[in-house]
Amino acid sequence: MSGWAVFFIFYSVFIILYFIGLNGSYLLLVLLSFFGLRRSRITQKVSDRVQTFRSSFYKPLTIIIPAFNEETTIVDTIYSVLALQYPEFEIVIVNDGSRDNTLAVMKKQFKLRQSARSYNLDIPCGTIHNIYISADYPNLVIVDKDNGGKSDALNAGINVSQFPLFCNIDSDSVVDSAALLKVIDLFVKDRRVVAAGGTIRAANHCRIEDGHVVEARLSPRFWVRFQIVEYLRAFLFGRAGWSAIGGILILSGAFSVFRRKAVVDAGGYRPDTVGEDMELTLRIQRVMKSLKRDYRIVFLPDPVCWTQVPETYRGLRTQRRRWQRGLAESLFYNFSMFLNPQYGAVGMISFPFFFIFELLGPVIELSGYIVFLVAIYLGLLNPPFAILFLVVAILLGIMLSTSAILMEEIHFRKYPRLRDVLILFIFAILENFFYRQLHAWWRFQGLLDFLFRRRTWGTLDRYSFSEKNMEDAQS
Amino acid sequence: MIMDPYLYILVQIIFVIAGLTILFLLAIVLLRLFHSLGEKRYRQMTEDWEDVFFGYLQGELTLEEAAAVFKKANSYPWMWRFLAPYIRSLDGDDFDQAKLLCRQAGLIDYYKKRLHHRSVTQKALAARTLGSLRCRESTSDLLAMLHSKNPIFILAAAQGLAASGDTSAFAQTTRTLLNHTFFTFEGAAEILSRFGVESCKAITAALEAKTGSGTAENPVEKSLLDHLHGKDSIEPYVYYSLYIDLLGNFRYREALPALGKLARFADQETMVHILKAFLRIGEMPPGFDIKPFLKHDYWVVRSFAAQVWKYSRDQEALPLLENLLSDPYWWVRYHAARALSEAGQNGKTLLKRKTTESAGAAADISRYILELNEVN
Repeated sequence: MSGWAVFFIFYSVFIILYFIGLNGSYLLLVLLSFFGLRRSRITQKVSDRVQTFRSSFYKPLTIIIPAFNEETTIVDTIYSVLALQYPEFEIVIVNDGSRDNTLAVMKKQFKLRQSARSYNLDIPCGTIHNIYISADYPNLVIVDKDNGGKSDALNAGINVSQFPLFCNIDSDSVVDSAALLKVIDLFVKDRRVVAAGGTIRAANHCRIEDGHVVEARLSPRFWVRFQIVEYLRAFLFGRAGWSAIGGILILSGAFSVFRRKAVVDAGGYRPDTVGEDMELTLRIQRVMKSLKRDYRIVFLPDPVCWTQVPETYRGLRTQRRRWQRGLAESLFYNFSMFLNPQYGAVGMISFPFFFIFELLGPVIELSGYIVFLVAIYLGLLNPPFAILFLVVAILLGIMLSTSAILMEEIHFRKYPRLRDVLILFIFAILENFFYRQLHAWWRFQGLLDFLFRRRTWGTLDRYSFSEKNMEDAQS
Repeated sequence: MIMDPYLYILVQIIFVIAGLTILFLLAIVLLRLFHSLGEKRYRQMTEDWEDVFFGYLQGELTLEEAAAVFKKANSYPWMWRFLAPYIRSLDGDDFDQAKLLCRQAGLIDYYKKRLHHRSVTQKALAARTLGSLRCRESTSDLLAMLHSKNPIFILAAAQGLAASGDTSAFAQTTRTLLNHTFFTFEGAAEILSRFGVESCKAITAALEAKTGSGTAENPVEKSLLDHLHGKDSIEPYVYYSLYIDLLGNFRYREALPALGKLARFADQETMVHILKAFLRIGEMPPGFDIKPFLKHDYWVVRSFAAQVWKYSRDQEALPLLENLLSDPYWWVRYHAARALSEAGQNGKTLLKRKTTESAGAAADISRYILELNEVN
């Protein structure tokens, strides 16, 4: 038997085992998330949010929004946050040395004036030049600082924040009006909760009025449609499944709530990573364990944050490369958790899963394609087996995405038209034929970026939600 | 042709996966269709129900006539979905009338049966519904549910009991929330506050019994007193704090003398809650001396003392407030400065002087508060 043939046999066995491991885990996650979603739905049905909103017992909250060159979106974002339902909150916008008119736009729109508000430097952050308060909205605070990146801006916001809980929201996102009440309910009903997050969905082409999504609509752009299916999968059976076993590794930076003290104890966001949200989620768990505190990091599927997702090939590629690099950095910085029983499900199940299937996944997937082609060329492949295996792989992918769409239909039904849901099903089929391979390639590039220490954030085309609504209406 | 066993397995797997996918897709379509049809039917029914319900409340329809319309629809969950927003906002005679309608139409009996249903959702929703309808005849069932191990049942039962306003369950609900759940203090207080102002009488009686100015007479007051005596695994200060917060929440002035007495020997946590209650009630007991609290070792006590100073406006305490402008804690400085800013011209002059006279924390906070006053 030739060396190639031996290699091929071993590699085939490895690929089959990897495939079984990956898809077996996904199927388990689907089951777990089904029960997890059901449970959280019952709890939400039983909870009385009207009463909660009137309650004077709830802890006040700081909403931190980092802003860098956000002149087109920042006003809409602030109005949407000002309209949130929550008994008492302050909004801290951190202008991270924007080079455009972000600060000027805010100054004009919200009648800002310089404030003598002081703060403690609980976490290191770049120089804060000025703090402004709004003459119209007393709970609106603007921090103007040197550019230091998103993490540094968030750290500055945490330093300036006054309240025991803080929520970070991306400046290109809008949050459902009752989202804060829902997510804070988790902190109220379980004192061990130190961090919690909700679902992120694509806001592109949704109808947004007064800073809130009033109708979820499907974008005509196919890159966006692929991402909608991806987000449904990632949140409705990925994160919900991990949460059901206490194995949450990441809370999205676009919308998550933290106990300020836990974040300060952990040292705040790490500025030298692009995966600051995941890195912080992991580090909090390490610090909490080292302090011997009983803690919980939870995910609730219903509070929804709508965010602008990339609409172009270039934008999406940049984002996915960055995410993969962020994943690699986060896992690398917290590698002591890997297979560490001290961290329970996180150390023993989710961290190894993310390491093997999410981090190394693109390498294995792409090498699988290459070996597949080489094996065909060398005539080493049993064609019927290869074809059937490929069909199984594709069908499993379609089934998993369909299960996520089904969960969306059972629990949330955010898309009002059946047509939109059926289009998503078509995209769940289509994504297996080139998007999945392309995605693996981008993730592989992201891994190379990590290995060769390429450190760029990349840019994402932003638009104002109100402008987009106008465009949509005209078209 | 005999198929390779591996290929055979793969073909079987393909059939299973394809079958499941088609099943999921069918489920999506059917769920959507059923939902749309259901919503359409519900909308039609509510159009009729609205006329019937308001006609009944205005006396244009008899109880029997109105109940017959609801009964005919034979869907209690929909009936509740329709009535719930009204029930929650109704009070007095209108509430009693609506409750009577629910009883006559069979909704209360339906949900009482649902309390024993196998489904967690049905049981939990029944508990909440009966609570919202203030059905005190379900208290024993809800108490049994409260002692369950399932956190959803505990939550539903606690909410149901609290909404029913049956204060006989107040002590047990408090005990369960603190001992058998991970509720935060605020979460427990929020649910207990739904028992209503009636619970404040029992709390005040227990506090008076504890401070020696009264006696606990009924079983609820005695249970609360047991909590304050520490006859539980929970530290007494937690119960004190919770009960005092509830008094504050209802601005229960009748409790002021008991709170004033308690403040003299309370631990620092309880002291914070007493001061917070004064703040909520909007006054202090007559003759209450705030000065020792402005000098207290615990910064949170100092912070709240600075906030409640305004109710005494004790001029002898002004130098203490001035000292607090240099306190190591930001919140203490903030509240001391706010108190001074509300202390008339003298206070404002003092703050202005601080901005020019001194550097550091006192000047910063004085400047900040003066600026805030200007903005507001």
